[in-house]
Amino acid sequence: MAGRDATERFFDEIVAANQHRIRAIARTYAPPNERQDLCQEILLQMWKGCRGFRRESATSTWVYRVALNTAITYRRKNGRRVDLRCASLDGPLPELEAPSEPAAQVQILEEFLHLLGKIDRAIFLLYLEDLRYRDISNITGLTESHVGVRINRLKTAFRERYCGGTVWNSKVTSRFG
Amino acid sequence: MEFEGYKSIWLNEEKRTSSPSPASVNSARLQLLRSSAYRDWERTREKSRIFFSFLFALSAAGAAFAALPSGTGPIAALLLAAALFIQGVTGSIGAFLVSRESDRSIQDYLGRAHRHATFRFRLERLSQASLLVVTAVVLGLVIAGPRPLESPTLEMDRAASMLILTALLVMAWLKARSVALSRQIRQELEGYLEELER
Repeated sequence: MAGRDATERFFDEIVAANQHRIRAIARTYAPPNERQDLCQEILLQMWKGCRGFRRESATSTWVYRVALNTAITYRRKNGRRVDLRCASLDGPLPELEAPSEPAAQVQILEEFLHLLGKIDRAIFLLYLEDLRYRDISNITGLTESHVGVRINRLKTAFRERYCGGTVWNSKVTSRFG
Repeated sequence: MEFEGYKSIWLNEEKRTSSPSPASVNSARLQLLRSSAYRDWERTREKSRIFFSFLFALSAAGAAFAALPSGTGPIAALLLAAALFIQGVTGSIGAFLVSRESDRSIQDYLGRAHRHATFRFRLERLSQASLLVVTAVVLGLVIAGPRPLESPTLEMDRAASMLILTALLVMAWLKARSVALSRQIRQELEGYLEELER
């Protein structure tokens, strides 16, 4: 009983401390009407994993692992794949006003995230969350140098698309490519 | 604006919108409860499907020996029992493959999930193949199998055989859907693993 109480306390703590991360991941991986379901699934997986958490890694790393693994492989209850329906990366750039408000800039980042494949999306999201290459490497299982190369590719792609460039870097994977 | 500007806005927005509160923890608990209740229901449904596969297999075998007149019916019923038994066994093995540790690195997790999905897909294909063979044999029996000579038992045998053939066709149709889903899941995971290596 005491063990269960401790697990519940630990779960409450990590939810309180990481809810913005969970929400960001749900926002990145599910369309608006399915975000709540994805959040629920992530919480369930976190609850299941709470007892096995050995504190060998930082709590935030653990949360990112559970949440991203769940989000990448999440399917609706009826087996339908959950994905966002966005324009392809190679498609025309949507008409955007010059962003001045922070919300508009966040929207641009979200739009870019939605254009990426699920793995690139995870890497770019972790980079936006200001994680070090070492932490991203721990979460993804890729080497630090591989993470660095991919982030550079993604940044270049972002700059070319939104910061005045015109040529799209074909090495960045689109969900459709 | 340069990329670093976007990044700092992203971080600031997150800090601004994240406000841990007891209410949000309660909401998380409520979400957890709803999700786990749904999962429990899903698991119960899967278990009951497996249980009824075995139960119907026993019932079909019982009917073959005790209720049906001699002719095509008992053989078809025994074949149906065998098919249901195989579905039950493969379903039980598949049910063990559901739980996965989600706190591994993405690469490890996807690798494991892919191995499970491949195994599950092969299992589904195997059970589909056995089901199709049984259905084909029963169809052959319905067309050219042994028949009782007397009139009332002849009709009963025909009705039983057709009923069993229909049941097998329904099972084959459901199996085809679940094989397609397994294939789709495996291909998706393959795609993620390829994307990870690029």
